[in-house]
Amino acid sequence: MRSHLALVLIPLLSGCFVDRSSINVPLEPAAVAALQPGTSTADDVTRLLGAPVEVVQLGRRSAWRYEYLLTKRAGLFLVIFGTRGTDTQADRVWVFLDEQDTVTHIGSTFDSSEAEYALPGFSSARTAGAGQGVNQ
Amino acid sequence: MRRAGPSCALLALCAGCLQGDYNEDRIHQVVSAVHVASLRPGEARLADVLALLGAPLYVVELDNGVALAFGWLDQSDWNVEAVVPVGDASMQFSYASADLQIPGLVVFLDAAYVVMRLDRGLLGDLLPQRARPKLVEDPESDGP
Repeated sequence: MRSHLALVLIPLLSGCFVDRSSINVPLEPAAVAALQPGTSTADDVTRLLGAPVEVVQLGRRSAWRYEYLLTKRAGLFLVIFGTRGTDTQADRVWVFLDEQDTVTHIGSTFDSSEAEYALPGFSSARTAGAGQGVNQ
Repeated sequence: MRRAGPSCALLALCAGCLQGDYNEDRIHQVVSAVHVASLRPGEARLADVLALLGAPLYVVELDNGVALAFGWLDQSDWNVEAVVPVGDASMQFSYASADLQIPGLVVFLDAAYVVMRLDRGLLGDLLPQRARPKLVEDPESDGP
């Protein structure tokens, strides 16, 4: 009986996989919290967070994007049928600067820890994300 | 065992000509409908948007302001593919229900960072095409 069970389990488990990939480096909430709208400058932003992944010009003002993406996948392949679950979450920060390169607004989201390995039908219920804003 | 034998043999034979898969994809977190409802055009400002909704996916410069795009995806799709030999050739049938357009919310703000309107839909439809940054003239210069 045990050998039969093993014979069934071995081909099933051989088709399993989990995978994790990320883009950029994780963002530190403490570094973001250290930025103060109205006083922090572009120099402070680059010193604390490094180079942004995107700079958007807004007339004489600008907005800088920092982002860390984390993707987790889990899959199962059974001869002629496969199933896969992919979950991508991000830590993201937008820093808005005025004409004098002084920080005016900061919007941040730290959701990368919410990414999970889950086959279809086994993922946890999704809740609405809440952001954090620090503004002048 | 007598019944399982032909089934296993059929399964093994089909493995090369019939494939199916079911996938679930989740990208980012859904924006709270309650928070969105509390953003009133003409009153809410950029500070309120960032505080309630967090960091947007995209910030886009507009002629008269800026657009903040929030997007998320929570979808499942299934695909079936069958390859059938016909004479010397083979025919392939496939079906895919995946839709890669990301739905979301775009908040349009004026130059003073006051919310003008909020639109829901596919981000690809709501956002303007990417363009070069606007030319900013120096007010102190006397012209070219």
